[in-house]
Amino acid sequence: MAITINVNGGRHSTAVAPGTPLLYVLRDEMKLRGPKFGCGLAQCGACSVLLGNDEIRSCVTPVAAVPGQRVTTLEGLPALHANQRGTSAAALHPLQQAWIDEQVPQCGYCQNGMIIQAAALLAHSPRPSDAQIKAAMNAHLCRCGTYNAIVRAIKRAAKAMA
Amino acid sequence: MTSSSLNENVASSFTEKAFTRADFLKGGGALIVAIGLPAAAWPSGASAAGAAPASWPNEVDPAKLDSWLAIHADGTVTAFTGKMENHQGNRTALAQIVAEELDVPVANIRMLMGDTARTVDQGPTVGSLTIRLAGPQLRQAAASGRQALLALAATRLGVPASNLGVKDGVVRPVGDTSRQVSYAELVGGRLLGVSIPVRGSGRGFGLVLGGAQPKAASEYTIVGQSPPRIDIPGMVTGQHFYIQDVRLPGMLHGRVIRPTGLGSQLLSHGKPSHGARVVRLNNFLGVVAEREWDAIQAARDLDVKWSNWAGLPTMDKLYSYIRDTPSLEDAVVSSTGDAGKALANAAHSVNATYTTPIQTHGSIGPSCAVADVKDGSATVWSGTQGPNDVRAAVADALDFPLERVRIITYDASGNYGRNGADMATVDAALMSQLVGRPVRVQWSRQDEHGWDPKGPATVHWLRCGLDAQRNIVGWDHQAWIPAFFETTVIGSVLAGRTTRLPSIHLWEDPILYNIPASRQLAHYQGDIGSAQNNGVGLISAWVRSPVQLQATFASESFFDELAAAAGADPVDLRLRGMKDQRMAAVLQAATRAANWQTRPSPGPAARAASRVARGRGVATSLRGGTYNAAVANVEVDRKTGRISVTHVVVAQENGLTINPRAVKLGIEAGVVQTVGRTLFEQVTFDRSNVTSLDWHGYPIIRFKDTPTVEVILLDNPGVPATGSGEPSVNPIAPAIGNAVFDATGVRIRSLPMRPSWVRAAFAQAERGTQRVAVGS
Repeated sequence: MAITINVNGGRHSTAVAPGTPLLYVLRDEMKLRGPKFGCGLAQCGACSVLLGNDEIRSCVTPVAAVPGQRVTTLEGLPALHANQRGTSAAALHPLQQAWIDEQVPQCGYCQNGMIIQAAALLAHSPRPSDAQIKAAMNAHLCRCGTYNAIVRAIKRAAKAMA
Repeated sequence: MTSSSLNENVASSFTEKAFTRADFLKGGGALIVAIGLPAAAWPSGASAAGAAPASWPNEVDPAKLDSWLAIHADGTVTAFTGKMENHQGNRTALAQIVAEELDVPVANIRMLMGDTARTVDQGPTVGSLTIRLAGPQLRQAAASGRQALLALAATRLGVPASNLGVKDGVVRPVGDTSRQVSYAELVGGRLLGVSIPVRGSGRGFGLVLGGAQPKAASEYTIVGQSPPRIDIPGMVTGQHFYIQDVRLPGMLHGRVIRPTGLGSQLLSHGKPSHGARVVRLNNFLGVVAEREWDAIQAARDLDVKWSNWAGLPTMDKLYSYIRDTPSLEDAVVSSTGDAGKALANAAHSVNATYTTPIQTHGSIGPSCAVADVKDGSATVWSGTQGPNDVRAAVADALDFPLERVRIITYDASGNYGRNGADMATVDAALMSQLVGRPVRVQWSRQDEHGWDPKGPATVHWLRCGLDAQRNIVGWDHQAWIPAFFETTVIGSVLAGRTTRLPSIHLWEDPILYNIPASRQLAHYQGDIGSAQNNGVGLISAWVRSPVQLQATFASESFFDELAAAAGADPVDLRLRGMKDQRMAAVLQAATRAANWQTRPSPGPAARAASRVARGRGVATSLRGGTYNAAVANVEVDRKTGRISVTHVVVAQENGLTINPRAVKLGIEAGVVQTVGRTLFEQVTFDRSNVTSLDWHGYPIIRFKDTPTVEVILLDNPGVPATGSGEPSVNPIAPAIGNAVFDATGVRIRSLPMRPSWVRAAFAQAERGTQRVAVGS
């Protein structure tokens, strides 16, 4: 039986087994490249997406668990932001712009999860302190070591969104 | 000129029917996808795979300018390089170098990186050699391009080339704005057809291009500036193309199933679940399925029986095993005077043993490759650092001639050395050959943690002789380096088609101080367990900064021991004997920024009663011509043994800097990574195999552990650029260890500095069994 999910404002029907992790539907069927496979164990955060305003690990979330809720991937952040602000969509979410302004990535592979988690953080806590940022982001791993640049970018985006 | 004759004239000719070189020169959008620039479309490998049987030249000819540059009809330029991005900004920095020589905006340069059919072999992207060695190659090619274009413009405008100037790809007579011709108008979409004098080979990093005179550094307007990295917008929007994103029509998803023990034999397997097929060749085992999740479940569920194998030493015996195993080769790395005699005649002697653990590359994205093997040829998409090396390995494993293999690279997750990328590339090629369809092999987290080649453990024995005035008169550093001359490709071994990749085992840790007699002696060894398994043990490949991260931890910590023994300030003692003024300037810059207080270590905190002790430590390093010094501040919890690195200042001088902002950000990130390697990282194993198979078993640094980092980049544009990816990681571990000593008076001689080990070192010091002063 087909499962219909709501991703980035659009609907997608899939015939995969209900236990299939959302990640494989996003990447293999919907051809979205923002969410990445990192561990399949919910340990690293490379696969993160927003479910509503909360960050989830799509590598361990069965696709059958998300119908009826809004899934937003890295690709959908600009439109989500525009909807929430009632403005027309810009090319970039303020976090994406801040990531460019701060030149955050090294290899870039983990940054999907970092930006998604930062979006969830700012949705709940618009002006976080450094300590709040580090606590909120601590379950995301970056092998390259870009953590300080990420903190700077989140603060920059928070300012831009204020 | 027809496209077929065009193809024949192109060194990097590509024989696919889907694309001609002429299409490419016109700047077709499809190729932009293929070269990994941001694009909205999901890539189709079909267009690049073309019709079989395909063959490709053994080598792209470096002596043809068209192998390096293509000037498109729309005024954009593609620069071809055999180098990879490798995460710190090579793509952008090389584009800056080309843009500078051609006088075109960086935004108009596209970089096509790492395709064995289209890019010159400039050697693998390792050892911080890209800007240092490939940078001058591209600079020279671009200078030749500019010269060729100016010659054409001179004819067109009737003005001698020496009287022409270029701005943004438009040529005008100097002082005359009435006439102009653009690069695009001169050659857009056509070949340049120019030869460049070359000597040496890229394979041995010795390729040198001659010909036109490049600009002087004093003329630079693009090099030395900090334009944003060209790949970052794609990375933050999900558009950047990674190797994990490659999909081919008709492709199967493959998963490997590795042995339980390094030397286990496959005894039997059951029937696969989830509609998957088993793929097997001797001990090489995997599954393929139409859907990725089915392949994952089938690999997980397959009932497989392996023979027992237990040929590894136990973990607690690792360092004695390394030291006691006969070495493959002993080599004197450096020698000054007679170190043995100086030590024998010294008034005092000090010695210490340092150890460093096995570490893993720990890529966040496990290795992945896609192979299409059919009709006797193989096109393989890879995240390798060395496309030409892995091309030879694939040819070997498939038993194909080299010209029937093409490797096309895409950016990979940060690898920091030879992670599983090359291994997965051979896995995919083998699977595709076995099943007769394109196969994408995605390693699992457990595959990557378990089977990426491991950064080897090392043991260092240092001895120093002092005269009656406590001057250093002799220095001897012996290192047991489980180094390797080749890296074995695991899939090929399992398949019974063993092939090996070239590797390096360079111990580079120059002695920075004036010591009358010194020696560095390397005991090079095979992979651990290899003697118990036909030469294939725990396969090794260095993690970021081969040998030096380990050797400098030992040597710069030991130097600190000497300073403490002499009652000298660690910076003063270093500066007193420093041979090289560039090194001294970097050390002074770091210590000035860190507000270094001159006094011996240990400091006052070591005598205080408080639970948390604070201290600072310093270390220096020189690697590949790049100078670094670091000062680390730490807090040590005496009760728990927990070390917090609170702040690190690191200074660097690397001659000319192409993109200072990218360099500083790369250093900052590398320092953070290395703090984690110093404090946390250690591969665990039992007698059979690696047991640290995920991020719980192999913790790396997280946000909460991250120190603030101040980077000081010393400008020295008159000196040719040296590398930046590896050098600054080298002084970090000793600076931290020296800071712990400063805080507590206890010397940590073993990495990682985990709390339990730190507590053990405290206990040892209290019992008086830790030698911290002159003696013996």
